Amino acid sequence: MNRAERIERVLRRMTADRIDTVIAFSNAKHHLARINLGAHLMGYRSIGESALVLRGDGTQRLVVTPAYDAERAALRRPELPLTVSDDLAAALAELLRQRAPGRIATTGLGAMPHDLAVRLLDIVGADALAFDDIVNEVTAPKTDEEIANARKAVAIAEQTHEHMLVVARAGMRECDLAVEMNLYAKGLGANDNFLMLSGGPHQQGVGASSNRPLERGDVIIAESTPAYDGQFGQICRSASVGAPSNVLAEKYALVVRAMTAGIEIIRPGIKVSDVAGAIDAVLTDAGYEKYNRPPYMNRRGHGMGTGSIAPGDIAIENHMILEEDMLFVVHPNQYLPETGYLLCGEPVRVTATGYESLSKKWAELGAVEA
Amino acid sequence: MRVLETTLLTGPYDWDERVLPRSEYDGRIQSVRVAMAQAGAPTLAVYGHPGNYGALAYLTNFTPKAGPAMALVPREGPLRVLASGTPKMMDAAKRLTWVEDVRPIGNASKSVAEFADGGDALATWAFGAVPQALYTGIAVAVAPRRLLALDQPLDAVQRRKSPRELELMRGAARLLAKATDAFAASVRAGKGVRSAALAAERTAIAAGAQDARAMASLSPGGAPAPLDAASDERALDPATAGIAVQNHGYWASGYVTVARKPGAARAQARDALAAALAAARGGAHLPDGVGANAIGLSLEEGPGDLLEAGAVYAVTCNATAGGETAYASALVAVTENGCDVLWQQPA
Repeated sequence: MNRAERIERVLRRMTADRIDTVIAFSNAKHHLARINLGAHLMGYRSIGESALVLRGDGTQRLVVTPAYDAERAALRRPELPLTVSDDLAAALAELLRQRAPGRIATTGLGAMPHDLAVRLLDIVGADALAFDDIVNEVTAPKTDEEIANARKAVAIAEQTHEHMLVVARAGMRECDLAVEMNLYAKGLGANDNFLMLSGGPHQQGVGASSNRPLERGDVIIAESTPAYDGQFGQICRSASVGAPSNVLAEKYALVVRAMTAGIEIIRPGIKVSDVAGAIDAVLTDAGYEKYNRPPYMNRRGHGMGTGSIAPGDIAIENHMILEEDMLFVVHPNQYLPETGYLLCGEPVRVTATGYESLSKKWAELGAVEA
Repeated sequence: MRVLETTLLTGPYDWDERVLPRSEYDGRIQSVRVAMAQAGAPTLAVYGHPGNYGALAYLTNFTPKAGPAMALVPREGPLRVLASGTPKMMDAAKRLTWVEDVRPIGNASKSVAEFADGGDALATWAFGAVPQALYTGIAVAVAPRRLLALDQPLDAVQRRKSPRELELMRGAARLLAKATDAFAASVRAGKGVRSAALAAERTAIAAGAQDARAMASLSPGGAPAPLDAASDERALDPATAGIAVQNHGYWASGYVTVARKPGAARAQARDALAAALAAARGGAHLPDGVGANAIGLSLEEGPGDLLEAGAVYAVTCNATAGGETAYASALVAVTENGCDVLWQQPA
């Protein structure tokens, strides 16, 4: 799929729902795990709030703020007619005045900042249809460009993890390690990195890195998620500070086994919940059934933005059917009473007959200098 | 300066009372409570998100590393912080603030309504940035009380820097100088703008910055933009950078143009900046064509069309001559009688 085919899917739904104009808003937040359908459709990460105006006849216009982002917008999306402004609402009003919009649907309006959203609501009208769920549903598969970028992002994540194993040591603050990993990933071509990293001898969960110094006996757990040209790719890893204990090695092997069970059943047509169920089954067999729920785990993986985060959370409650070219990470990310919280996770693409692992080397328990 | 928002903040943000002691926050909260009393509001709700959390940090030191957060301030009694994340993540969140009551934001509308009991209005600060769906949810949850924006008086309080804050901004300015020097050195060594921007960020971080964001032009004389594509690497002459660095919460930002042969545009930009700085004092307007905004815990704390004594401003001039555009900028603390230049480029 390419971007034109993604737009074509939206146009088909516009016809079916008798929508004349879709206005897809971007709040300029380009996140791993939050939907931004405006950015998803325009294929552009604006600095400020922006919109894609898509007419039923297929014509499109990108409206970008601030005005000084004009050069970058034109460079990134040369095929799109462009309006630049320091005032999105005023620019949009003028566009709709020049050509009547007919029946309007929007995406992303609820995520726009209140001060601006009030003005946008005045422009699109109270009867504008919220099109978020429909657009999210029909644009779930990634484009070829996004898939290629995800492969690069994951390659950067793997190299960054290897770098972490070299530079991390007892006495180093979690935040300093996280910043170093971010800079390293940027040097490899990443434009951002969702990096949850924390350390401790028995953690309840992973969090944003703090000023706490790492200590011998800690386990470093990290969700490392560089973005390459906007597409995130996540791996989850764990490493002990100093040599790992036997029980840590044993339990880590268990969560990797659970992850593998989830990944190996992936193919088009199964439900997302089947993947979560396969992971849970391994842990249940090992005697950890009561830990297959919060607060001992949150989800067994998730889609990867930016833009669309389909197929959503890898969870027992998610019955979405997997389609070819969906991208997501499978991660048991599990608390066990003997070890605390452990992370292992691999990103996959759904292929025509199964799955493609985007990572070259799956999770192994690492160790860093004590 | 507006930069591309990052998905997760990773730097050192835990509250350090040696840098900003509790007494500093007590004074701020006292000022805020005066404004609340004048407005007749028993509770104030303050919003922040990873892209802009100045008001939230001003009162609590809390940096919303992983997602949106709020502070709830009663007219009397302890504050509460609502932070993004699961209950398991609250231990780490508590390290970010002196506030003891830190809870998951969860159902934010319900949490705000439960805390904001009584009165005719819930005062708000920085709620213009609240996502519309959440804003509506809070408005419904606290009804029949209305939401009363106190941004104007509270922004004014926040803009006026204390001696301790000014010292932290001087520190930020020193980091900015190192970062701009690194960018210039890298460009002069023949590196592409993406490499130079990364060198600037690395230099600032190594010198102690919490965060550093460097943008650069994509064409000679172009406006600096986020270099978020690997294909953005290119050697340019002239090359312009827009750089922001953060020191204990406080930002310094500025622009620098690097050219092998400085031309007329550079001289014009420098002269325009000199004229602007000569005119800068409390109550003054800067000359036409000069860009300025207040800066501190946010990259943009307010407009710079009318300068206020006690505030710090990022001032920028650009000029185009002979097809070349050059930038000159400065960071200044405005006083009643003039301004104190914290950083200037070209020096």
